[in-house]
Amino acid sequence: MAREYPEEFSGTALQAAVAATRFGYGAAPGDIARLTEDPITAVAAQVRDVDPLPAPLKDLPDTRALLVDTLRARRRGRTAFQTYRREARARAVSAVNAHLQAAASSPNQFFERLVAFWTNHFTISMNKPAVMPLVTAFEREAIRPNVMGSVHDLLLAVVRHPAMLIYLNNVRSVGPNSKQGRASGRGLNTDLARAILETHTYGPEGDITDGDVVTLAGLLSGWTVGLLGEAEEGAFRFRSDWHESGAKRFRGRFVPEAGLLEGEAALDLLARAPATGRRLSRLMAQFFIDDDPAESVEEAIYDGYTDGGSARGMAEGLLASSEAWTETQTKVKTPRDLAVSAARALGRAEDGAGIAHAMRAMGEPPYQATDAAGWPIETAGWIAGEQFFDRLDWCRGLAEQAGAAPGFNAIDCAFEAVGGLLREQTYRRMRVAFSQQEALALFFSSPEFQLR
Amino acid sequence: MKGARISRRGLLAGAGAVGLIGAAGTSRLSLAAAPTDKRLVVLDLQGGWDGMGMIAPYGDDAYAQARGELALRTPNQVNGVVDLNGFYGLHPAAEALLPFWNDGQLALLPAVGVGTNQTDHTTARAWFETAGSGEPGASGWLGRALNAMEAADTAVMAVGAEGGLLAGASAQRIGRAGDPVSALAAFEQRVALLYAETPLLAAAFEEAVAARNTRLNRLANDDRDSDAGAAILGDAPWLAEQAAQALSESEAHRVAVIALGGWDSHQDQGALVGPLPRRLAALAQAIALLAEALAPVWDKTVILIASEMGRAVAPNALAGTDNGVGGMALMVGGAVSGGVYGAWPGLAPNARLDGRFLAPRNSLWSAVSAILQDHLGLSPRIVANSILPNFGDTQRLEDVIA
Repeated sequence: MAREYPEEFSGTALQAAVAATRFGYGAAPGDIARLTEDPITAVAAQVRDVDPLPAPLKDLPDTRALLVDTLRARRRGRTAFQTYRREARARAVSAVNAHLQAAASSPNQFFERLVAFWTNHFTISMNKPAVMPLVTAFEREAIRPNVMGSVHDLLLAVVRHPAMLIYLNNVRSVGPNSKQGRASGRGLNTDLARAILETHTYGPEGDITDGDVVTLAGLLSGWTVGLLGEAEEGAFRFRSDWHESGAKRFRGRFVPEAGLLEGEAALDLLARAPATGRRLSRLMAQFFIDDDPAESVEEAIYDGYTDGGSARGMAEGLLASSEAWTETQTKVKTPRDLAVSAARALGRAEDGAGIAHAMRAMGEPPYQATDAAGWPIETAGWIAGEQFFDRLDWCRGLAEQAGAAPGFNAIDCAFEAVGGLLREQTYRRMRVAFSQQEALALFFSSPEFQLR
Repeated sequence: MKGARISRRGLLAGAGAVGLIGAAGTSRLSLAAAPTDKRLVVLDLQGGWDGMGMIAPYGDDAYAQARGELALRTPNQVNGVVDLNGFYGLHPAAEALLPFWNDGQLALLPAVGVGTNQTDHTTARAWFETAGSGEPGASGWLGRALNAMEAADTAVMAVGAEGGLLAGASAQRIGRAGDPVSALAAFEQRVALLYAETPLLAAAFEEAVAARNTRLNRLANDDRDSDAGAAILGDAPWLAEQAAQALSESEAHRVAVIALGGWDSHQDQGALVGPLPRRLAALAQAIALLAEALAPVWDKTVILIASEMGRAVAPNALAGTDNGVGGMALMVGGAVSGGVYGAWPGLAPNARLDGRFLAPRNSLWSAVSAILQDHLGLSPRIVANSILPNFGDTQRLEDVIA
């Protein structure tokens, strides 16, 4: 017999449902009961003393090993390199599956969603062939260890990472007045500098001029990757002979000639700028709460940021705002969110490959954003036009399959997945459905499951 | 093969019965027992599959210009295809197929035709299903093959109204499930009721209905019928799992036909992202699921992926593609010897059929003939005389079955 709809849900039961739905990917069976005693404390604990590399990610190769592999393959000639690429891609897809499994199965759901936020904010993509093998290593090495640190450490780790230097072409950037530049006539590549200013920090509202971009590119010139046989083979390398010479003036600040330290000083300036903090706070509020979040939520996040430019402070500030805990759901789940939440609701969080399939089918192939801006933070676009039917169709197909399991009960599944967010009208429709499959399909299609 | 044990589990319940499985969109699954230990799955892509949208012949000098806004980028470019052999590249949405290529278990059959140059679905489907022009009462080629294998008296599950490739197979049929399209419509209506108090989703639902109606209203009747209620994103993985279960070691079934609608991409099909790539992802997932679930019998398995027609080379005014002639077919399986089978006719306007269509340089029936003879063990004489009489002279592909 299916559960009756309760007279009422206790306040903390409702808060627990919000905690799992909004700050995690969605509840797995048993989660809401576990969170109910003290939801706020329980979510805060999901970012305290967390091992940034859960079990599925422990044994994946690091960037140096992957890059050395690529560099060696390149030496073996065209056909061998093509074979390497095909095999490397299959390995990269396996690593992506492991990351999706890790995100879906971690008990530290809030941490995992912060990782997703920052990984998307500092997008690199498999869609660039040279970066394809490295996308998950970038997350493991630059993002995960720093999401609970300072924005400055995070930004520095991201910009220094070989994957980012390759993705945005800084490995080819040579100061025109450097030793190498004067000898070869090579020049700056501004892709990374532009992304740092326009995407990673100040953003489009930041009054960025082309001069700022060129200056930052000069400050970062010589930040490249060591080639085979070099001491820094497959790792970050600073080449002083590629670095633009002379003192520079960046955003009103005098930067004396100091080689590698110039770029670090510029990133420090950007990471600590109030404009950066304001923008990141808004993006985080949009990612977790609503496309148009309440100002008080942004303020709470920004308060956390001002504690020394702290990414940890931002996360804690998000939880501290009462509006962040509203039970009104207005944020459309991305394909990633929907696929992972469905996997968790069905107890299939270990199936990373299945989650990857679902994301591709719904239009968000994992780790394959089409440019450095990443996937849109505003999610209403994911249900535009007939794409909405594709999403509902995917939900129906999953329900047809999962709902056919012997003994499966869709209403039990729904209460475990969204708890007190389950509306009585959805419950009633599920009760009168023709089959468990249809009841589950209705639940997956319902507002309480489509939104967070 | 009398006395074959038929699964009684779940949806497959009912020995000897014919039931309809799937049935949400135009999709359905048919199963047949047969006296062989080999496995054959046919993924019947209904509506005319734009195979070039999945396997891009980027090495053809005319490709980028011919495909215009639908052209995918080359493997060395950002957002490019995944290189297969220096000429063909795989759409990244379908990258779940890459391991099969790497393992030599994916065969590309480029520029295949079914025997007619007509571009309406009714004619093309008749040729594809019957290996002939489909006179009234004509049987499907796979139905004839099963009869030739003396698979009679075994259950052929499923079927829908006409029976498609399996039409004419000797089997009992009882009943017929309800109209699949109205079943899907009814589901959508029940979903819409859930959105009454959620303006965001209610508006999205209405917008989706309007977008679909606008698209369907632009189509000719023949195309509209081919589109009706296609639901591959949901159906492909689910039907693949059902098929794999029925074809697994412990069950009697040996042949499965999974019909998947949703390929008649007349409008806004998308190149790197969009409706077609989402469907390619679902198709690739279905193949990956079949391989995973059939692992114990994988070396005895062939999956044929084919459609009744290809699509016009160039995009139309609505950023889709019109019905075409030459198309793509694929074979995947442990019993498949991977590679490219068949010459590429070229995409330059003067190489095309009527200046518009990929020339059907290769015959789908040469691949089917190889499957019937080298995989299912039918004799050349039976294949030529009884199963593919209209293509008796067609040479089978000699090496495609491992």
